[in-house]
Amino acid sequence: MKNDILSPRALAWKKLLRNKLAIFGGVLLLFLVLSSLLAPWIAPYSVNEIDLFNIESPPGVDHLLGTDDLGRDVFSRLLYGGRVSMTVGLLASASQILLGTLAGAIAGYYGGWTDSIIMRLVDIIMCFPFFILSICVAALLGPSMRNIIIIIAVIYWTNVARIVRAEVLSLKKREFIDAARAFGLSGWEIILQHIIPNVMASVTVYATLAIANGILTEASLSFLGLGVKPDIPSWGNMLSAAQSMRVLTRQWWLWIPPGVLVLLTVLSINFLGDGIRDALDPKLKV
Amino acid sequence: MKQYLFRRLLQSVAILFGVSIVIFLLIHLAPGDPFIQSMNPNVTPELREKMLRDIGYYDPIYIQYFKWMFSALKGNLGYSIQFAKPVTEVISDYLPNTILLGSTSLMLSLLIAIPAGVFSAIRRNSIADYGVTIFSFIGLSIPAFFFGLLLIKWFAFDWPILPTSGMVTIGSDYQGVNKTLDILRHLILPTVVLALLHTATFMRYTRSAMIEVLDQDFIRTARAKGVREQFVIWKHAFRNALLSIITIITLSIPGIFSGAVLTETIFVWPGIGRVNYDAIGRRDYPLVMGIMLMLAVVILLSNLLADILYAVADPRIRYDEEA
Repeated sequence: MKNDILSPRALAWKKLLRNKLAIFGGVLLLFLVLSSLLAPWIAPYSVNEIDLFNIESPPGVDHLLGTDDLGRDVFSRLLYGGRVSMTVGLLASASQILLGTLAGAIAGYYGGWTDSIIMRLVDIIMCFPFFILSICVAALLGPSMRNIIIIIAVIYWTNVARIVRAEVLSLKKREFIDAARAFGLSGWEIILQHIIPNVMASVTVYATLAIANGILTEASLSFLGLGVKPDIPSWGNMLSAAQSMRVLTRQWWLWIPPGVLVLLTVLSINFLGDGIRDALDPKLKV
Repeated sequence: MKQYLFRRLLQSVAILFGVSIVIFLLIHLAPGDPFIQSMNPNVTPELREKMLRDIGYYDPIYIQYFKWMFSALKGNLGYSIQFAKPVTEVISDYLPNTILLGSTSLMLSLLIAIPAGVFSAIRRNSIADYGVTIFSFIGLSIPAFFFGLLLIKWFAFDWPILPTSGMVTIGSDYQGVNKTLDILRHLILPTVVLALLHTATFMRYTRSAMIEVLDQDFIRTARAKGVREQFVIWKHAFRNALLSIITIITLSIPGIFSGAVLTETIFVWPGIGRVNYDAIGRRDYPLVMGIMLMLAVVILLSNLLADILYAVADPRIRYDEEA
């Protein structure tokens, strides 16, 4: 047997590929993402196409998962709804990472007053139960896809900021930062070119889980009528049909499929995220 | 230690001050005017203006803030528009129901999560361990309200054995033991829904805390001395893992209040979460402000408690350095 020496990146890949749950999550996620992306080609009907002969009809040959109260095809709307739910998850995750990484890096690198102001702001925001604050803000800003993304980003960047700040504090003491400073690089150049690339590993894990969280939050807020407006289908607002007792008890095809899709998407992201975390952890052996 | 406590307490007060400013600004940016809407439309404009002036409606915003804050310090959170009662009274009417729901679900999740977490840490990589891991992932991934809706469908219609809304049977007039039993029956489904998420979290924490402790040398020493395995696990290992488990329990208190909003809304449970949701919809701003302020105090106290427990249990924590 030859003695392999793997680069950290190759080692992480090897660990990830050995994790059965992560592989399962990755494959499932790929399938879900592709079926939403390819919605215009897969969906048998268009999003708002109305079939007046089939209103609230149960799953059958014409409509794979039945139709809703306006005679729209549930299966097609699920495919398109996935696009909205996943977009919310992705954009909400990206914006909280951007805000949080910058704020955390600035707080950690500059320290002193800048640090105190940013971290006290984090403390204040963390004092609100997330869901109560978000329905408050959602009620104030009004329901829309853009507003959900803003709400999630504004409330959740605090977690990223804490993680990044803690890492920066330990990075700051390393020689390569001293070297960069000796070369005459400005604070901003050091933060952007030397600090942020080094915190990306832990941020990646957080970002993956944040997408899952964003999808869950979209579903909950839209269910309460505070999320994506009903004219565009999203998994969350399709679920809100279940607020009617008639739908809840007799028309399972209107609300169980979107709920199951949210569950499967979030589950696959969580499996994958956990696998990435283990793969990047140098303490865990292959 | 005393100094550390004092500093953390001071810090909490400062944060609470910031929280109150945020709540105040948030509510003042809100559209609509609950004061004008709640007035009798037959009042003459002059009288209306005088009334508004009397309650400080025309004061500059910082004066309004200080007025609100000082009366809040005296325990007066204003009047709820919707209930026509002092906010503090509304909170004390509904908070016990939320605490009842929250504490039973916390107990349920600990009863399941701790044995399951310890078990899967001992039998690492067994089928049972995989089962626990997959269950906890599903618990973290299922939208709580979707789980609630499924339970309502199953237990209220497909197999009607449990009540799914309210806290007591409407129209019934149970007394004594029967009343308690009636409330308990109503409590079951919301408790299960609220407990699911925390059960999953606690399981994962218990498992990883136990694994960390079980790998340490003193466990090997205990085993080498011939201590019985039951003793090694519960007396030696679990005691040490308990520290991080307690911390995570304290830190999950805010999550219980957050989760209560959706759970209480679905099951029509008369708690503070549902009242808050309704109050936002009806623009009952004094009530919303009061509830948010109260919850911020609860969160600050539970964070403080977590820090203190941590510091008491782990003497390595240095008080002078901010982590």
